[in-house]
Amino acid sequence: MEENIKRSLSRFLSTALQADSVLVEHAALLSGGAVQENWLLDLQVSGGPFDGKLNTVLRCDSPTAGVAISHGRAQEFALLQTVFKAGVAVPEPLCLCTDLSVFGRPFFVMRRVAGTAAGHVLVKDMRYAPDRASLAMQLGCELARIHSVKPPVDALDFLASYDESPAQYRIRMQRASLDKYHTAYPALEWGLRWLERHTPRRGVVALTHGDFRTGNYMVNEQGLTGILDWEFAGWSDPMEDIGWFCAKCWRFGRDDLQAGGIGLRDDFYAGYESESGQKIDRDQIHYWEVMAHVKWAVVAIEQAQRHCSGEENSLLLALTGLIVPELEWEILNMTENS
Amino acid sequence: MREQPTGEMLLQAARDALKDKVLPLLQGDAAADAKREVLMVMNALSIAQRELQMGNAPDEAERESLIGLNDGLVDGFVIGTLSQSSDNLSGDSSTRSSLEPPRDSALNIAQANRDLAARIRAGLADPGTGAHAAVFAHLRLVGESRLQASNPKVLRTSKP
Repeated sequence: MEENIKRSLSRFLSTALQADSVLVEHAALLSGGAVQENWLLDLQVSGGPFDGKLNTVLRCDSPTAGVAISHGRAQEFALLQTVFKAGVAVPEPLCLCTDLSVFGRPFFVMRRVAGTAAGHVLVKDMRYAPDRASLAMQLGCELARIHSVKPPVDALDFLASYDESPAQYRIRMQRASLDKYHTAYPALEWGLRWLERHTPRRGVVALTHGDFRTGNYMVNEQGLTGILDWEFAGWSDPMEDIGWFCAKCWRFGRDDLQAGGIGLRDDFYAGYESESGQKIDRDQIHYWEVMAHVKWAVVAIEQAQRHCSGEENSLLLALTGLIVPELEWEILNMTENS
Repeated sequence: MREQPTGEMLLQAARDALKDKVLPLLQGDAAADAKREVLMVMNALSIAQRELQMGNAPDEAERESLIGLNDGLVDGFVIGTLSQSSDNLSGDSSTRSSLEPPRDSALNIAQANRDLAARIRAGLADPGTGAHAAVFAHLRLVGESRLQASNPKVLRTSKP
């Protein structure tokens, strides 16, 4: 990070954190997602409520604009504040900056949580959260806390609201995404039509994370430290998050551990049910796992398109497009007999 | 006729070089990003190699299968002629009956897939329709051939 940007950040953070002064001791770009950039920021704060050493992460858009359906930084900050207040294990949101003169892009700063989020590491390396049954339960519990947030919430008025069933709404969105491309995806259309034919009616609508899966939460040697990546949150059927978490495409090769490749469904469900006091309707989970595969395939197509259009030269994005055939294959497997 | 080594052989050699000469150097946390990048490059080389091996066969098989859907179902189920671009995604079955069945040679795969997608979306391949089983079999065939290139491991570990 350039010195003048560090100085500019220091000035902003002094005010935002009600401090006498803030020194950026260390800044480094973490290997971030395809949509956002995350910077590690070690701060030395003098005065105010955060006096002392403060380890944070600064989050901003990646230089090339990302997936169209994700929220901006201001919205993500509001989401983080809402769920932090609801008792969800998330990095504490500290401050938001929409003034482009400070960093060139909007960003927010949150307290840094320890550990790793990398899914492929987590499913193999048992040094992280060695008690996997309790990790699965705790994740179920955290998800139930997220779903305890019900509409309307003033601070979240930017989230789309709609009267149709969440499943039908989601189907409409996926079709609109596919219609942007000249290439047709008959197998995904097959999955979407199956979803349409089996659409559950509108029931309870709650705040859903939208990307609640292994890879998007942080764990250290003790266990879960924080739920990350809120940019796809919205009002939806709570079952959508449960299906997304358990779907085969998010098990990182550990198909025997059907709850996110890290645990058993029963433990995950038990954590959810004990926190929410609601029984999970087992019959609906398959539906939302089909939805998960279709949704992930559509996002994968969008990410590959960013490479193919020349917008962002990236081998990762290009290869993401190559997972579409396996998602389609699984969709066919899941919908064959109904 | 190209002389050897073919592009396919070059891709194999390039992949072997990364695997045997570069990957072993990338150990530990500091090299984790570089290692991930090299693994992605190796994967990309494998996919390109398999695509080269398969040549045009997948496209031809897909075309044959689409023609089969047209021939086997009433009125040319898939359509897929370029002149039908105005029919794109409408899924309107009333316009189909007035169309001439396409000549085999005129079938455009991209257009046929758009037409097929629109018909699936419109419910014309739902269970209970005559097209249901044939369309599903077609999707399996095309899907399998794409997996042969992108990730054949899936075909060994997952049904049909």
